[in-house]
Formats: sequence, structure tokens, C-alpha cells
Amino acid sequence: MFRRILIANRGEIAVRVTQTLQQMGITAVSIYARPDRHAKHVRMADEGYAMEGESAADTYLRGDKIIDIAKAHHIDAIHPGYGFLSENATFAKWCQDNDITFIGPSATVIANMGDKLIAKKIMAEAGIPVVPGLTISAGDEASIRREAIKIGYPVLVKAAAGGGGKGMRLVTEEKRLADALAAAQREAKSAFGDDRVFIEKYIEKPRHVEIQIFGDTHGQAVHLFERECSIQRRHQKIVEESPSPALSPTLRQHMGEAAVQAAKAIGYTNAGTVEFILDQEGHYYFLEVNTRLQVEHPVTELITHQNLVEAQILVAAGQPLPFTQDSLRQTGHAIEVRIYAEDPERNFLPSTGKIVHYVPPAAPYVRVDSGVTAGSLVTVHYDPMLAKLIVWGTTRAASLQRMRWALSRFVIMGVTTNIEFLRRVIEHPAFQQGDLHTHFLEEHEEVYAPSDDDIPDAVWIAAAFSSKPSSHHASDASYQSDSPNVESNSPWSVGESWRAF
Amino acid sequence: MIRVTLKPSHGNAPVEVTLMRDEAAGDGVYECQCGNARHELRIDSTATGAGCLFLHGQVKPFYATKQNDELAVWIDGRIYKLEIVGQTARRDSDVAQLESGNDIKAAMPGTILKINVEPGDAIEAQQPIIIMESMKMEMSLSSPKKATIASITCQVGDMVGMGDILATLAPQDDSHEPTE
Repeated sequence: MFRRILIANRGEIAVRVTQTLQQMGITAVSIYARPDRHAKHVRMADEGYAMEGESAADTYLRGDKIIDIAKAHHIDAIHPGYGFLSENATFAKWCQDNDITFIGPSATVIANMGDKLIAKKIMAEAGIPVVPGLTISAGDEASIRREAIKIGYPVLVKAAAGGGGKGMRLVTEEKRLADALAAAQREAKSAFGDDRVFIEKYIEKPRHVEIQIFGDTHGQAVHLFERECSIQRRHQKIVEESPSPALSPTLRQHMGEAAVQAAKAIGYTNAGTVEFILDQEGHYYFLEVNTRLQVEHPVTELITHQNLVEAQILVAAGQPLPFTQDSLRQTGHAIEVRIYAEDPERNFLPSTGKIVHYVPPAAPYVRVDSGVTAGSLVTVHYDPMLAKLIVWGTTRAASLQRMRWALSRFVIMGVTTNIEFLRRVIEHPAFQQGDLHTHFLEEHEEVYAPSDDDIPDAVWIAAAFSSKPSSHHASDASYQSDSPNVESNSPWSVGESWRAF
Repeated sequence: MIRVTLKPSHGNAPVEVTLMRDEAAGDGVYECQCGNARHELRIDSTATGAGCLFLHGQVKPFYATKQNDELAVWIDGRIYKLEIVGQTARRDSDVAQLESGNDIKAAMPGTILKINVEPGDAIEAQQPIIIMESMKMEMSLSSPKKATIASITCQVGDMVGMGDILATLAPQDDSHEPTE
């Protein structure tokens, strides 16, 4: 078993991996860019090593520097988390070349699945349903135009190296195709350094249903049921749940088996996710394989009572899977929301600053995976996701009730968050009924508007009480949401004095 | 005592809120005038910018941040953004020493209960001059300095507004204040 694992990530996922490593008796080693020097993921770790620079490109994406740190500090394995280097086949190969275990699938699998065109081809050959009209390869505009006419508008333009909606364009009529192709290519070039795009049939009101898969180096592959992630904003998931309200036991079994078949077809090891789109008639089509731990993996952990990170470590160390298909059960219902530092009233512009108040809800069956605390700085340098809130209930109704409660008790102030927006989504009648699809937010745009009720007297009173220009508190000035570089000697600041508390 | 005029960051009419500590009741009990409504409530201050209101039996934890004149208040899972548009917020003990010039002004609207001095009287610093009632609480207005009463511009029973001049002072001959 590994003794020392470096986590090549930051934020909540670095914290979450750290906790499991420590529970397993493995030394958790963190790395951090300069803006993260006070960050929670560093404080939680057993060791922390600074990287020069501020941007992700100079730090968490610098595989060469990270390998140097790993070699200098006798690291056995690297956990990449999600994002950053987690799906970078070159980095996985470098790890292997330097006798460091990359915790994830093989570099070859990452490379094949990372190329959406190759992935579709492999899956189609393995008998997995793929989106109609998809098999064309990226070519000149004329051939794409012919293909679009053949499969019929509307079509989606997608980046071959894509993900997260970048380089994706919906084209409803032929005259818009040229512009969409050019824009998608530009976006794909800047996001992935690869401007190849392809088109596929656009499916109306699709649901996004994905299957968690897990393979080991002993030839075993299982699925851990589905997650429905249909609530997306600009192709980014914001609410995820399991079971999916759309799946019958039969459909669940079929999709699970298809995912395992896909895993076996590519020799998949470690944790991964096979994403499908599900149309209104219950037909499912392969979308892509995410060759990493997903952001929304806690949903699966809560309904299966498994620790996916622990299983990742065991499998990476060459041990057999700690579960079999027959031992896995889907129990109750779990739902997750992603809490972002962004302002729904300003077109979801990222919000930066210092977190002044941070009070997460605490109750049975309420889990908060968080990368921040009071005093944390939220900067422009990285992804604005602050935390994930995950709850479990015996039924979907019970878990939605619990989620509403938890969102109404989650206090984050100092930066603007999407907490109230998430609550409006969860409370929406269509969401409550499980009537989900990936254009849910466009269809129900009223969730964007905050309710304009009268302000209760309690608010005026609390505001008046808090308006005092000076008070008995010596540290009063620092409860203002200061600019990030302010240092003071209060517990609200992030200087060295923090440790005194 | 806190008197502040607030308005929502997005439009709407301003609301004036006055909070006065009920010293007799103690334990964080306040008299509050909130727009046209009056409340008696208790406020627990649990941390800087955080507390709990006990208002007519309802328990309302709150969290607040303040940046210049902008306030954000979390209550019941919602964050309200407000702006301070007018403010007279001082510690209760400071009320008597509001004035540094030669005018004694009403610190808040109320009724004149008692006038302790007459024009020409010599007074000491901190000597109570006028007693007024505001929101069922008595408040004494004192001279900020040793002086002579030049004039009294109110009568017992008058309803006065905040900032009204109630009396004027003349520096005493033996005062060492520099003259301009």
C-alpha cells in the first residue's frame, strides 16, 4: 500500500481526498499556488508544498513541476482529483515514467476517451448506442454541411477534445452553421488547444443520466448505478441526484449493463463515469466517458454506502475492487447541489472576496464537502465552486425536503453565492415532480428571478443593529468584506494570526 | 441608541429604524421603531456581525456584512442587500455629548419633559440641561463644555424633531477656548 500520496488539486476535492487518505493512514501531501497559501486544502493536509505562480496554468496544471515536487518528497502516488490534470494522458504517462502511480485509468484509456470522436467509434463498435448521425469525423465545412442536412437540423456542434460545454453550439438552421463552426473552433482551440469539431443530432429535452463505473486490474468491472444531472446551466451541472426519477428498474439495469460493457471494451480501471443522454421515449445514447472521479461522486457514495476515493486508492495499489456487482445496493435517494461564488443577479458573474461568515448546515444525512471556511479568500484564479451540499433521504421527497432545509440554513457571506437560486430550482414544481431535462432552466426561467416580497421587519432591525459605525468589538472593521490583501489581527482575517484561534 | 435610515439596494422607499436599549430591562432588550411599527425585542449579539433576534416569540438568527454604506443581512435563508442613507448611531452614553458647538440639539424626535436651566445660568461640562422623552425613554441632554446659557428655544411639552436646536450656549468669560 502507498505511504505518501500527493493530491494534485485544490478546493473541496483536495480536502475530500485528504480526509480519506488520513483515515487510511496514508500521508496526504498538498500543493498550492500562492493565492491558496491560506487555503483549507493546505491546512487539512499533512504536508504542503508551494508552487510559484498564481494562475492554474502556472501551478495546478504544471505536470512537470508537480512531478518534480513528487520526486523531491518521495511520493508513491498522485491523486489528480477532477479537472486540472485528471484527464491529461501525458501527465498520467509522466507519472508512470517516473515510477509514481497515477490514481486513475491508464494513459491510453484517458487519451482514447478524451478524444470524443475516437470514444464514440470505440463505443459504437462495442455495441453501445450512440447519438444518430454521429459517426462522421471532423472534416471540411462542405462535408459537415452535407452531414447536417442528412441527420436534420437542429444539430449540435461539439469539440472533439471537448467537455464542460466549451466549443459547443446549437445550430437550428443551415445559414447559421458556418458561424457556429467558426465560433466553436475558436473556443475549442483556446480551451483545449485542439480546434477539431464534429456535429451530432440534437435531441429535444434530453435528460443527462450517467453511470458510475469502477474497474480493477484483475479484470473486474462493475457499475454503481446512475446519477441524473439534467439540471445544467450553460452545460455545467448544478444539481445531481440518484436514483433518476426517469429510470425504471429495467432501464436502470440495461444502462448499467451497457456501462459495464463499455468499461470492459476499453479495459477500464479505477473510477469513471459513462455519460448517456436519455430522450423522452427512454432511448439512451452514449455521450462520453469521464476518466476520473466526478464532482458529483458523493451522490453515489450516499446511496451505495461506499467510499469511492478509498476504492480508488485500493485499486490503484493493485488490490481487487472492495465490492462486487451483487454486493452493491442502491438505497434511498441522494441529491447534490453545487455552491458557486457567483451572482445570479449579474448573469452569474464570479464573485470574489473574503468569506466573512461561513456556517454550513449540520444535521443527520446532510453532507457538506467544502473547500472554504470563514476567512477564506475567493480569487479570480480558479473555479468558483466553493462547496457541495449533499443530502440523503429514504425517498426522493424526503431528500428534497432535507435539501430545502439545508439550503435555507447554509450561510455564506462576503462573496455572493447561488444558494438562493439553487433553492428556487429545488422548490420549483417541475423539479419536485422530477420533470427534468437539460434545458430545464431555460424552460423555467422564473427560477432566475428572486422573489420580490416585502422586506420583513426582522431584516430592517438586524440591519440597523449591524449598521453601527463603531461597536464594542475591537475587530469590527474587519467584519467588512475587505479586499483580499487586507491583514488584521482578528479571526476574520486570514493572516498568521488565524492560527491563534 | 441607533437611528438609521435604510433602503433596499434595488429601489423602494427608505425605512427609518430606531433602536434604543431598554436599560431598565437589561439583557439586550431594545425598543424599536421600524417605519410605522413599534417592537420590543431582544437581540443577542453572538459574534461580530452575527446575532439572534427574539421578536414577538420568533427566533431569527442573522448574519451581516457591512462595507461602507452597504449592508447585507442573512435572515431565514435569504440575503437582503440594503444601503444606509442616513445615520445617527452612537453609543447610548455618548448621546449627551453630541454637540461640540454652541447649540444643544435634539438627538432624536421626542417631547421636552423638563428644562433645568434659564438663560444666563452658568453651567459645568456634562451638566444636564434638558430632559426629553423619546420612545418611552427619558434622555438628558448635557452641555459638552463649561458655558453660559445664552437662550432656551423650547418649552416643556414641545414635540421636537431630530436636530432641532433646543438651547444655545455662550462661552464663559473664563473659558480658555481660543477665539477665531
